[in-house]
Amino acid sequence: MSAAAHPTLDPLVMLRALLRGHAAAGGAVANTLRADAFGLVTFGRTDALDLFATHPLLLSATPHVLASSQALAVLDETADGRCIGVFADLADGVIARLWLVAATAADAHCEAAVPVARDDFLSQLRLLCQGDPGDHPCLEAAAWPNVVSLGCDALAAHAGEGQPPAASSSQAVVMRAFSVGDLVAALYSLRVQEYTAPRRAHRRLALATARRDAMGTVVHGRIAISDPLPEPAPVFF
Amino acid sequence: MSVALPWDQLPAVRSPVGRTAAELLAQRPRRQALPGFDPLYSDIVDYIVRCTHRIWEEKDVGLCRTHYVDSCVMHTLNGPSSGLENVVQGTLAALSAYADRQVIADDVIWSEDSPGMFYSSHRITSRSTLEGTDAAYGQATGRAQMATTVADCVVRENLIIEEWLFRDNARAALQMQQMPGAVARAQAEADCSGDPARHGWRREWMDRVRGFTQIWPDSDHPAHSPARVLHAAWCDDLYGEAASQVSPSIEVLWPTGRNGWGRGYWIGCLMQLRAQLQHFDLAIEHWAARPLPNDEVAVALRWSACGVHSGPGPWGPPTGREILVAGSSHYVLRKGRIVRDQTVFDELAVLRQVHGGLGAAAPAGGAA
Repeated sequence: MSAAAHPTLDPLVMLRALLRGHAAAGGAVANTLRADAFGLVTFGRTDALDLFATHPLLLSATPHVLASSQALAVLDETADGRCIGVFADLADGVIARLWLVAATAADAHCEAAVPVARDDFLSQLRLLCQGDPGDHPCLEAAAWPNVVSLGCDALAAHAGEGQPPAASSSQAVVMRAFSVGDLVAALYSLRVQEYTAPRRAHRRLALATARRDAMGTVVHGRIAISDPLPEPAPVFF
Repeated sequence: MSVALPWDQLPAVRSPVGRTAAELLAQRPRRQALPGFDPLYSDIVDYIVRCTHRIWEEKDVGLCRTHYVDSCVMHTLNGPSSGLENVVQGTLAALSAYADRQVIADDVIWSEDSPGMFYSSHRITSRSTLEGTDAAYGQATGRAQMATTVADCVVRENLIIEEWLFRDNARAALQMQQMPGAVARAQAEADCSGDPARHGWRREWMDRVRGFTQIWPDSDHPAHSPARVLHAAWCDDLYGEAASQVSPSIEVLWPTGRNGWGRGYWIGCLMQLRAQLQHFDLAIEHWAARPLPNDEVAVALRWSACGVHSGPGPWGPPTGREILVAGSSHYVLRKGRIVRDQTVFDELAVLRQVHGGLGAAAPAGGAA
């Protein structure tokens, strides 16, 4: 049974159930669901349900929600006043992928990985926010400058956390973006290069929503930014 | 490569992407011509997903005997395996060690290459726990494995005729708390005793790659751009030009934990492999494409490459050995541009060659 087969299934209702680890959510969760949450990554419906059963997240009664046919963006506030975000990819109404933009859990970790040397800019003329509006079919092209400015705001807001960021070497990558009327939502991967020797970088997620006025200016923007995500232990063969 | 069916026909034969488990396993009437197939299967995706489920999850391993030809050849970077009963025995061994294996179908990207002859590139993430005995990783450690595999199969009349299996085995070793380098060294030492002729398959495979004449997907086929992009990067060393054809927000998943976003990371993965292998040749041997939800397109490329290990990198100091790499790249295209690259090859088997295993002990150009 899928949400597509049962259009009365509201993705937000299913999302709430999934975030509490309720098996009932399984009816609207893709078998291949990948969830990035609390500094942990799971793959598959059953592991995602297990993750949220052990780390339940209760959304408030009135979260800020933007929805398109392909995505759901939710901003909410925790009891201690922190702005958190949830972004879900939807495929025919089914939750196909999920990112939680929030604090990391005490048991946060990630798998070891072969380190890869990278140049995120490919030029000395560096873009602080990388992306292309053409990659986001549910985004009105006129909203792209807002997506970029919100990404730069996210980078500036929380980049360093104790360490000054190397401003010209950090970057936001637009992972997802969509707009609904005068509202826009975007999910970012922030790679923050700290201004330290030796150089260190860390990664965060950010979710921004905003309302645009008739001139295209952001009149009300909200941004949730995750804690730094766990860095993989380097694999040396 | 000719095809009997255009890539975007039969939209009712859907990818498993974005589908629930219940929907995947629901039985449906036949919706694609499958001559000689068991009536149980509604289409080629259902055949792949359901027979994998029946064999691995429902434990009806004997179904291999009605789903593989007797003479089936399974190609891996550790060497080929021939014969149906070896498939059965290998499946039994894996399940007796990791009984709770969930075989999650990430995607099935298929083509009908001639009437009734199907090619399926099946990306699988299998989740399992070591509760039995694994020859390499010990006994009942309770450790979980979550490795990605791509199984490319040629299928006709309900039977798999030939299979190429690419598994992220270095990642699996790390999940079992084993150092891939140490595992590969031990395998290489064992390879160096006994009859070296048993590794002749590797030389033959590399000779095919060296002598390969590349043909390209038609320019209106979704695989055309990814094939050209891969070739531009690895064969022409034009990484910037190649990257300009992929999304600036590309998501990259490569073996042994490599996972990142953006063109810079994507270039980093490609260049890291190529920088270690000089005199590099690439053969893109098969491609397929299928529609995905939300107007995206999935593309599968099966490729083989070889080169001389002459540059430093994660595989260690250069050894001068000729190394064979073979894998599958699964791309997601949006408006014709690559937004996701999930590439799978067995880096543990590459390390095994670097350490002189699988017949790679002699440096390139040296005595066999």
